[in-house]
Amino acid sequence: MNSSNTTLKSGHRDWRVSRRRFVAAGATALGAVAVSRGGSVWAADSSGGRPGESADELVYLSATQLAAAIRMKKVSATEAVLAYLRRIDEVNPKINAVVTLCAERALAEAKAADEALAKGAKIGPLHGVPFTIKDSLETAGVRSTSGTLGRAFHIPAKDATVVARVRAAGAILLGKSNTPEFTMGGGSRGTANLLFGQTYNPYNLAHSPAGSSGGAGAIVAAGGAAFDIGSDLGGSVRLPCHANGVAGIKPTSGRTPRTGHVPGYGGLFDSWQQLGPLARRVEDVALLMPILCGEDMEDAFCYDVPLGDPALVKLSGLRVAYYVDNGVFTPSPETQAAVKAAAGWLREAGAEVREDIHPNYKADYEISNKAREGEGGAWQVRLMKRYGTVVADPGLKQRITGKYATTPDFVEMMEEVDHARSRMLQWIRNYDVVLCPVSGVPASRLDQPAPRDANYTRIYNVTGWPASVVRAGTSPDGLPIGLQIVGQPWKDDVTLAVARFIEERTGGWKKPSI
Amino acid sequence: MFTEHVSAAGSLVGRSCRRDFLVRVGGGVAVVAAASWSGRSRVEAAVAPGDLVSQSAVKTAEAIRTGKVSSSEVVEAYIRRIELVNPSLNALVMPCFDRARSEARAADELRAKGGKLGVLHGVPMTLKDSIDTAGVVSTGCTLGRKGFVPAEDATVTARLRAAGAILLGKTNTPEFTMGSFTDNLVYGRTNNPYDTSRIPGGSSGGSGALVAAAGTPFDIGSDTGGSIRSPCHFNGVAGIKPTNCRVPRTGHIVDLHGIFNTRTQLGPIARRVEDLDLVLRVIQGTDMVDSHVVDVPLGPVGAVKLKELKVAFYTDSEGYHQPRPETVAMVQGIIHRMEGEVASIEESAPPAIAEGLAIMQKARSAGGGSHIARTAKKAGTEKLFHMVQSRVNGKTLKAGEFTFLLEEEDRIRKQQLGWLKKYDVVICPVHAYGAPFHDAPNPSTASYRTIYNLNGWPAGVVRAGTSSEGMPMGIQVIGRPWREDVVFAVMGAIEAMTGGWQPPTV
Repeated sequence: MNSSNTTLKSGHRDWRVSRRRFVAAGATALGAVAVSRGGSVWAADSSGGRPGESADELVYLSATQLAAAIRMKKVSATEAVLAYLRRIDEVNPKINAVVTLCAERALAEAKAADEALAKGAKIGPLHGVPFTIKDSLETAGVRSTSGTLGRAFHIPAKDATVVARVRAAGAILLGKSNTPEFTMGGGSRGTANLLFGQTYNPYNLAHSPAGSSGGAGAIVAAGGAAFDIGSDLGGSVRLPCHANGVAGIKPTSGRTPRTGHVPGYGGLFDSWQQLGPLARRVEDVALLMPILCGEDMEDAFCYDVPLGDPALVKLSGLRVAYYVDNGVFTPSPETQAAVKAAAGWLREAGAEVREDIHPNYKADYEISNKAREGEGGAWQVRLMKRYGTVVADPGLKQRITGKYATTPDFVEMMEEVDHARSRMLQWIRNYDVVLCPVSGVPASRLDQPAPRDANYTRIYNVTGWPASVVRAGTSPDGLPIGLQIVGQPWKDDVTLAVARFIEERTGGWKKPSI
Repeated sequence: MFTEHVSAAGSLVGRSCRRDFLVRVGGGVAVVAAASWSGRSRVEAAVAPGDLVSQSAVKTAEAIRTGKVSSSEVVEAYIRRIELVNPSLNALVMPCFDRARSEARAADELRAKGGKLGVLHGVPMTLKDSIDTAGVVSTGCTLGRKGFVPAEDATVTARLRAAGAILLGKTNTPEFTMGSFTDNLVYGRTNNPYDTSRIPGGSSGGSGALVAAAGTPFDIGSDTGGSIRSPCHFNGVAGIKPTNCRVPRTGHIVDLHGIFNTRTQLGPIARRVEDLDLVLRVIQGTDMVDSHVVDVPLGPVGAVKLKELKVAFYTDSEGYHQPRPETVAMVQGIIHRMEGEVASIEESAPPAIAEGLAIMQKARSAGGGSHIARTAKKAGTEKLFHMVQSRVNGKTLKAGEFTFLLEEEDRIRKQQLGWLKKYDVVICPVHAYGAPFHDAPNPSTASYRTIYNLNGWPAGVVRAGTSSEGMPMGIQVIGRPWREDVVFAVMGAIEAMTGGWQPPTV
């Protein structure tokens, strides 16, 4: 199907790991691996007892646990990389989530990481932890296509800033995860493009993994990577987290540098786009945030606002609003129940919980949509031209309508968007977090047209508020249901603290049966 | 047309000086007689260094806090000074002296009782008339808002008053702050205190002129394209356009919501650099209304080590505007004196200044001025000042072309930020020359200033010299985004070298 699959199959015997040895090293040792942080829910032993998880498998450890295990020499980076490569080999033919692999380099880096550790060298917080990266982020020496034909063979010379940062922290890149063209061409298929085709949901192969970080969500859920980094312009980190039952965050607008992301930073909807981590466990999202965030003196809209520690957030007294129906799309009963259950648990934990929604939700959502559509896809046309793409994916083509607003109308729409932002900001002054669905429905069937999505997520790209997702339920047909936890601007830590709390109650990520 | 306008404006000045001002205090509406402003034609009696009204806001606050002087004494001294200088400046266009006096009395009583005092306790201030002040007429200098009394303070107003500052009145600005000199159909023209036949710059021209003439310790201006920095330069005072998104614009009359929103910053204008730091710390930070404000911490100025700073300087912005030789000489003189005091000095300018300005200009006019027409409609203004009216021309681009220009702007931002990696501070002229005469052609030399509204970097101005015509000359000090602490440290060093503000002697 593509060249990467050829790579995938090569030498796959070598990757059969030493899971046994790891387990021998200590099922009991795992408990000790959990870093004690004192105080809140974060102190809980994060290794065991979760429904659906078999903690004895290396590839299902959280990134935090794995990093600790490597640091404590319970497992080597080489063993970790081999285990993940083996798992990719096992699941990828079914889900088509990883589209380019750099196995040899990963093994070489793992070897170097093990040697560094043996020598007692200074190591980063992600030392030896294997990860994948959404294909819209540039990776030095590894093909980065952003799902567009014009970049089918593009090998960047430089890592995107966030990639460079996690690698500097010791993480090891395994390969690239699938994305629709320019992260925008997925439509109802979630994650598909003309280069690599469709990505499938690991919980049910007939279903979409959502998009645009669908490859990231699917491979992380399936235990093929400890984490991935996605991008979110309208829900593209959060919807795959929801559909694949993993944890993630769209950080506050301005937290992460987008340098090295295609489409690049800049333009009218620039502030809507953030990069954010996807991982099986909330603790991993929290671990990654300080590594990813902060200005790089290239992305002009990235700010050094201090990032709080979720472990220090007290749930008692937290002002919580929740809503189950935004008036745009009425969610399934299970989705509504998941939000209500979360609200109930927070109330039990001493939070002040109220059912409330920002006024004018529908109008504010619609004006942002209108503004987005107002340039008739001129942006998409420019992207194709810039990256030498002649044939666009049908999903991307859909957005190129050529129906331009006039500039005066357009400028006025943008003013209205700003007024909406201010109104919403004045509303969230009254709350520390807002609980709501990520989507009205679980991952949709690929053979059925999906309802228009992103109606629970895009509004928070417009406001720029941080929004975390954690699995909080299961649909009648066994698909994950995520919960969205939205915070005041720059209070990413508060959303993660609540996500972690909900994860404790629901178990969060569950192992897929593939 | 220009001359005709000046005479028309002149008569407005006369009217506004004599009329009674409506000031609403508390809930009720009270009619208070304006201070009697006899028709002096010249700025008289230069302030001596020891005078109360020549002190910095920092020193004034300290003197009040320690009981060396009362707030009432300070307020009275400034009111006397305004009465002396304003008739020839027309910088203060709406006083609220009675309220100021009663607030000063209350401030003195609070101190006597041992109450908790804010950092600006009892210190007078004025505010640009584009900033809403509850109970005090705030027009934005547009006819539709003539006599309009807001019910609520702008965020910056509320924060300064909560810190103890006392409002003396409002300072003049062009209509909707759009102009490089300060004249409008509501209050007329403001003059430069160093030579009343010259402009004070704009759009915070009333602020700059009154601060320079020692009529107020400080003022808050707004800067979308240089509107704080140009008046600081022409009037020889200190000011800063903070990093874009540091200060909330809530209650700024020109509702710049929308695409050009982040370009506007509010910032302090004062005689001394130390005051800028004091005031900026009071007004910065999110108010949970202006959605563009970002809470990036501001480091202490005292922690900045000049010896570690890498300095870039330039005098000619890509040949866009030729500076006068004396401007070049002034910048070079300052740079020369900085040698050995900083880590390194290189002659270099941000790339693509001319390209960036051309893109900005095209983007700004892409809507054919529809946003200005909308602002006018909202204010109820039918007749616009000619300079403002000229921007409403109906020549528009397609939205797709417009959004491309916005991407181009971001490309320039990124390119310039990459250049700034090499430096901590940039030093350049504010303007090519000192204040021109009112009727002289005043070609915009926005290239030195407006580019910093595009890239958003903090840009301060401090007086660094005097033109051959005897007018003040400022120098511009720019820092990395969010590093106002570095900008203030360098401005302070230049102020120490040159003396900074000098009392006007006209």
